[in-house]
Amino acid sequence: MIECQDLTKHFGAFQAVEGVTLDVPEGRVLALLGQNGAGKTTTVRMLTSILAPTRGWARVGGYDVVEHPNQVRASVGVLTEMHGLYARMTANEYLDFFAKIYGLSAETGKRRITELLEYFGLAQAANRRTGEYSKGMRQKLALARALIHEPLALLLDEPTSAMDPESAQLVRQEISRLKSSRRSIIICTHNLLEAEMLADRIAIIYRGRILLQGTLAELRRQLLGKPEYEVTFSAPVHLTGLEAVPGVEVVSASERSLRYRVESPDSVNPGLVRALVSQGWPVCAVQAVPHSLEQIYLKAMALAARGKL
Amino acid sequence: MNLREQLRLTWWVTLRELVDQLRDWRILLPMGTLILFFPYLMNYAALRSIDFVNQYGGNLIAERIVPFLLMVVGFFPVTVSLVVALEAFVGEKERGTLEPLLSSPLADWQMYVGKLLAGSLVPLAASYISMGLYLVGLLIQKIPFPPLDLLIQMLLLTAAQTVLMVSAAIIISTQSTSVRAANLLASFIVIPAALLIQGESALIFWGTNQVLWLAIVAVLIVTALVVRLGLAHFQREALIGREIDVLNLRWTLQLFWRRFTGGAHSLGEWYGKTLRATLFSMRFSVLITLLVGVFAIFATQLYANSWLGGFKLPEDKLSEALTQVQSSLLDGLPGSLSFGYIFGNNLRAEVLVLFFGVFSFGVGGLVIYLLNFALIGGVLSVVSWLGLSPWGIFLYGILPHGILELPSVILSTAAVLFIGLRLITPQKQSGLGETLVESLADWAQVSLGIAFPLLVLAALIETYLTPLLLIRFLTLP
Repeated sequence: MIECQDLTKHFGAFQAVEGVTLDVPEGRVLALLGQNGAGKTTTVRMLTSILAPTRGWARVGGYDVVEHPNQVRASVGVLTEMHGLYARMTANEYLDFFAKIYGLSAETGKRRITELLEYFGLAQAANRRTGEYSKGMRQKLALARALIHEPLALLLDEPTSAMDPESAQLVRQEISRLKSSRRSIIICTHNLLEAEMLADRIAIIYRGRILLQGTLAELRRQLLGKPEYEVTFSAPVHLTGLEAVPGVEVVSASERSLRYRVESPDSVNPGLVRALVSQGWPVCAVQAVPHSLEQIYLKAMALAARGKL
Repeated sequence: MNLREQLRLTWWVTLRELVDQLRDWRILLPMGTLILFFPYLMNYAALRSIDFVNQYGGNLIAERIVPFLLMVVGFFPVTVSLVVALEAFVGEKERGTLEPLLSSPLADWQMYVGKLLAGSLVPLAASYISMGLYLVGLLIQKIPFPPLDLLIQMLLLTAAQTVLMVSAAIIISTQSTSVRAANLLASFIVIPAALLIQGESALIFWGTNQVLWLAIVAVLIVTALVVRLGLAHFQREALIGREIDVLNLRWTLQLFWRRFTGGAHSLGEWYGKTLRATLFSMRFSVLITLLVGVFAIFATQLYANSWLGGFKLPEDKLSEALTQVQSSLLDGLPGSLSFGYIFGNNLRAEVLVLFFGVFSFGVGGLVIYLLNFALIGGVLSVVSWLGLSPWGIFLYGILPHGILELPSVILSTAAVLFIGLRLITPQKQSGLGETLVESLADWAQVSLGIAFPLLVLAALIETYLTPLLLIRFLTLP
């Protein structure tokens, strides 16, 4: 479990992180989104006991980050912004070194190294120096390092950056597997599609403050308002009288389509469709207008820049 | 986790570093060249120098050239491999490998000691191999070996200097934000180390083995203090948080001023609260300084008495010497030393204590202070030997101004010692630079608030009152 409340970090007069409150229970993934320099890395560093909070508290795996820094570090796996590989070491040596400093026995270490190298498709390159690795291979090895001690919590900064689609898929599968094995995971990413796919909750951080936090549906509702639907017609129609349908807020109407917002689609949509059909209008399809995380994120950033969020 | 397991983790850090170093041809090539070539060169230099000085009967110098060159042979590989220690932390930071290490459950000391060992082992091994080759060369060229105790001294000195230089380099590595900055700062290690070597060389040629042993002990103490300093100020946060090399003079001055004033709004408040609190915090330093001073006076007196006891001047010579001393004192005393001279002299002594103290964790300053107090013991011993009352000289010639001057020196030296103690004590809230600035502000508080005003009063008394009292004492029937 990862939890923090009012977590704050000031560097002199500069407020890097201000009052961040997060809760990531076991088996959940939180995506922390934000611009470069928004405070994501500082938050992660506080959660790994590298930086001491100026105010507030945080617990990772049940340990307080200030009181028990070594226990926190032992129970968390971190994928940092840079891979952090020693160029003159082989993958085997690199993972062996981290297995040892995480206190794994020789036998367990060996087993974990074999498992991880196999899983990430690096077994063939296990005895090559990491300096010779491609970007994607380095990223996979760094992720293997973060997982070597089977941590309770994972803090992953851009886990699939620089990876080819197959490798990225592999990593996403691994994150899903870890999630189902009751790990608490925070992903810092600019890949919004990935965040949408993996995260149970999303937090948007802007200039050190959490602007919004919730599930995708909650954020969608909060920022973009009521769900939006579109009706398409197979022949041109002249739409009239729709104002009379209760609960429907027309966004746009043309001869071939109708866009509207509705508070309770489950109860309103069937009645609306019946009304359209009863007018003799050839309804071809009714579908929800998709709002991606990208739209939500960009709206949030725009509002924040104008000081309206 | 027991100590053995903790040490094992430390060893993994060392081992990784060692493997990394030994795979880097940029380290191996110059090191290997130096190890193999330099001892040969020094052997040749030894042979030629011995031949040369022997032409002029300089056998003693010839004997000393051999151990001197042995020390030089051991010194050079350390300076070259210092680059490894200099980038121990900052290099990893630049390459992005530091954060995974900092995120690991390694304790700060495990990481620090691991790096220190890795930084020390290679240069030390290189030095010892070089020294070994040099000694083999001596055998081949049939040059007499240095005495065993001198040989042991050279080996110990090399080890102590290696650890001293490496630990200083690691401190630089933890405080720098780039390898380039760390390399530029390396001169702060190499130059003092070279001066140290020169001093040790003088001791070798001087031929005083006992003093050389003391020098070894001194180097070991300073080494231990430097290691302690590094450990005390090793902070994960500072390592990762410091991004830009900027000398922020404004911040430094503001910090100094804040600490110096302690938030006081009036002089009374400053004396009553700020200065009082500072003096209270340095009470142990004051006590240590006081004890060292008392020890210096009595130890010197005892030593001088035992030494002077062996020299018995005939009665008439003694009386003649006493008369000469008295007349020279009486002739020279009135108005011979101006207020400015006395005050300036004492002020210089206190500033010197600060200067030497800051660079040696207070130890250098304490040594200067100790010498000053030892002088009092020596003077009292000599006047006693001459037949004058030491108590009389003390009461009439030292106490009137000393009652102000001695507390001034004690407090000022204690403030310098306190700088050293704060530097080697872990400070949770402040880094190395911050601690140094704050400690200097504490010293300034004590010096400007108490020590210097006391020196002014003491100098006034010593200029105008002490000579009169001393004349009165010396002319007493």
